[in-house]
Amino acid sequence: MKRTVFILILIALLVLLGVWMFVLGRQRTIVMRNEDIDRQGITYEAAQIVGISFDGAEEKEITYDDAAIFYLVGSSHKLKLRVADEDGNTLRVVEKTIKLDLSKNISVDIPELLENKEEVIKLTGKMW
Amino acid sequence: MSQNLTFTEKLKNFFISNAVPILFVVITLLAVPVSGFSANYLIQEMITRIGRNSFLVLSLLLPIIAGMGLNFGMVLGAMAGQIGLIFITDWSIVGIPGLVLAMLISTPISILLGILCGSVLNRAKGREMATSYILGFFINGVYQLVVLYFMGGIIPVKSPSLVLSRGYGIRNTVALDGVRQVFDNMIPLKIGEISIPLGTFFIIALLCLFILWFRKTKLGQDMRAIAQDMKVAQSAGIPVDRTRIISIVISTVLAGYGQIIFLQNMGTLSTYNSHDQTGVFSIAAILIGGATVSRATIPNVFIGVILFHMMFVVSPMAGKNLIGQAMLGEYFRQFISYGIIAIALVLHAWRRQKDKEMERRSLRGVKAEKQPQAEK
Repeated sequence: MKRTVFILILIALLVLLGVWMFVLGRQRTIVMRNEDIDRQGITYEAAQIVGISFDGAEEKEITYDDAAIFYLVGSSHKLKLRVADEDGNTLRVVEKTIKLDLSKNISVDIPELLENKEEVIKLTGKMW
Repeated sequence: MSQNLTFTEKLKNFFISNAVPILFVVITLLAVPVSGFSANYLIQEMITRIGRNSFLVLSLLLPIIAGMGLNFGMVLGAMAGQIGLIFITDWSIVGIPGLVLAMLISTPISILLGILCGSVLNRAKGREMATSYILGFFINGVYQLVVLYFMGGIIPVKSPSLVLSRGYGIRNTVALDGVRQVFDNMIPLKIGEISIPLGTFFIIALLCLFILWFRKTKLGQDMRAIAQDMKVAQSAGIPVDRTRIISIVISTVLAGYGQIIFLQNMGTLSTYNSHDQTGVFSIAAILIGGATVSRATIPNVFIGVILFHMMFVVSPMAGKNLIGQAMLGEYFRQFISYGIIAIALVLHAWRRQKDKEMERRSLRGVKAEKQPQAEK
């Protein structure tokens, strides 16, 4: 009896460790799109140039109607968006904290994100 | 008995006992200058390969301690490790958590396969090596069925980079980008131009400590007793069959972890081939290190990995420089791996025969010495 209980506890602990590893090591693919979009009758216009940087890493610059892919591990990240005009002059810099669920593929529309006033934004996408 | 031997006999015994490593040291010493490789390159290669292969080779020790010979069934564990890696790649689990999760997934599969292997080997006592070798082929068929037909269909695997375009079955090659050299770079260390995979060495050291500790436990002592004489062990109340199964289960689980460590270093998983040569190459390495079917130690593992892989590295270039064809070196590798296993097995049988003869001769000697005394 004691032995069975010990084995069951061990299995439960290993399963929990597995779940923890899953949450800890899950890599999300985030597609950041910079294109005009319509949401419930409101049109969000894309910027000419947007510089994107996660967690202080090197900035990736995308132009109008373009997209960039990022691979992120972990649920909370600091996002820095630098909006610039055609000549590359910085117009504004927006910093936000984004919270990701366990979705594997997440798509983000930058114009909508820029208009969002909230400091912390939760993003969800496709689980698989 | 060894105290009565003359110096020549002792020397002869030393050469007989260490015939394989001595042969390899000689071949290596001849091949290294011919290959033209620099010392730095060879040292780096050896350090990388010790990190890559030692865990796999160490997994062979427990069945040898338990008197079950060389566990060709370690490929079963290797397959379990690969299944773990396929799942974490599909789920996009990267870094150390990815490798830990792959190990966790491989563990129950390895345990089940180990129990199966151990049970079969208990029904084939005395013929464990041949049986486990054939069992490896059988489970390979099951593995291929699961990976080629069930995954993507019955077993959910969704990633398009993994699943074949027909909708089920895993692709020939799986890129392990998310876990590539994660253990190796866990504790970065570079001495001059040589980088040392300290993280992997640390894990290998832990396994060595585990094996040293395990040998002293009750279970470890039981295994050694079984290796000495199964019938005596059984009469002493040791559960022989159960202990033998445990040794194979531990070996299979460790082989699964070893394959994960091996593949994280390589960075690519060849779905249908990676496990194929695992058993043969690991067994060849431990035999080259001076181990036998019935006796193996931790130093045998490291000496074997260094000598075998030194041969692996230098032989293609030595072949090219000598004959002008690098392919010859590739054939030479295969020839060495299988050849060395054959030599080791023949030497083992020959040595056993010699030991028996010596035992008989010494008994006759004792009798002959006693007889005149009795007559007096």
